[in-house]
Amino acid sequence: MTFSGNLLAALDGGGDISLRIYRLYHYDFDGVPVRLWAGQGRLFVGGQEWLGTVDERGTDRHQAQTVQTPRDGTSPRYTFGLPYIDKATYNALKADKSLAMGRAMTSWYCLVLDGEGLRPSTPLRFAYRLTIQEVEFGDARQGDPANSQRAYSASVLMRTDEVGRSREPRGTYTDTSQRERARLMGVASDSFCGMVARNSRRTITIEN
Amino acid sequence: MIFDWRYRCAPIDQVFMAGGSSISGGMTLGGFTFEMPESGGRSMLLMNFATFADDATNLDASWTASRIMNGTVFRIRLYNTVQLVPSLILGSNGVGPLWSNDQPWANGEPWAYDPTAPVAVNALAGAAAFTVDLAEYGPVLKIGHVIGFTVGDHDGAHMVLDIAYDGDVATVTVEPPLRRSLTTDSRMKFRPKMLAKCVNPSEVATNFTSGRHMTFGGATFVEAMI
Repeated sequence: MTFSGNLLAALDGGGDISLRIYRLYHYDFDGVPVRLWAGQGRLFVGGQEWLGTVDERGTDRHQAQTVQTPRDGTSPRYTFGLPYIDKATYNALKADKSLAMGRAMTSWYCLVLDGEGLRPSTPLRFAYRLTIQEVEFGDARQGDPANSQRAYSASVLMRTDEVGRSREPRGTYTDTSQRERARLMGVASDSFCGMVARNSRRTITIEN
Repeated sequence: MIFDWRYRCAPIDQVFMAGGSSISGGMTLGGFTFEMPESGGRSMLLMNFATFADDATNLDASWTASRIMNGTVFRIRLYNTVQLVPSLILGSNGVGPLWSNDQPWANGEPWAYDPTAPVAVNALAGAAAFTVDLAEYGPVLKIGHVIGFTVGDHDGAHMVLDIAYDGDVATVTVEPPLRRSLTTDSRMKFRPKMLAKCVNPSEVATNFTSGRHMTFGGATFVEAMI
């Protein structure tokens, strides 16, 4: 059963609707992948184990930003906080940042139906993918000297995969490159991407 | 670090809850705001304490006060409240066995009473249900009882939410879901332990009054998922 199929079946089932949808995050660091989900405990789905980032006080330790649409060729930059990663992963990443550079972070949707516990059967649904540009590390002490904690954390700076897309000679977005590409492929079009730049700068006011 | 909870530091009351968290779900047409339980939320243990009377218990309390502030995970054997299946129903007087030479431990205590029942079918971690063979006891398990498992170093306690008997073999739906995979070699414990962390340590370790008596404040323990 597909994600949509299961979701629609659960919504159309009549009676009580009991389902949860969670976000999953897969940081594909080379050799030390980190899999997180926005919940509590270990989630078993897609043949993998995902670590819950909600702590015992109900705080989500994973600072995941809202990812926006990358239209207009702009490529927003996102910083995701990965606090309290384990020391082995932290050390591996810090020793060799190339394990992280250029690697993908993929976010998925996960549907958990009633009675499935932490082992949902619905396949995951792709949400978005970002490319890791840089990792910054934190190693902080907090609290009083008599009662302090040490926390290893990492922030991951990411862009969407549309990075620099408008500047690629054979890219898909700028008007110039579209015209050039169409010429090479022998395709005719009317306006190409001429309207894109105009639309991106346009302010639309709607009068009531 | 995981430490055993000093069993002498006994509470005067204790309740195990598998509430977890909930997600606000929305509002019905009638105006009822409903919430949906979050999948696999943490279980919780609340305890209140009376003043500790004897020296040994107070020393244990002194040690516990420091450990509790340190964010230590405690392995807490649930005290015998009505949430556990009574030993009479399990056909026992609730006293654990002695050593093979009929001697107790040095402190005069026998082994801890630890009745178990075999798991009937393998169950994977994360599952919300398991099957247990209760042939030894009969259908003693009821909704609302707390049972548990020890798998390796991990101890988990679970609230029985639903139960279906097929003869003496029971399919039990629990909350929180299983934290470790179970095999047919695993045994379900009627006297469960749980791994938990105190989330209000500064309120617990309060009064060491002049003289020698310690009183703990009400303690809230939240399941430590390791």
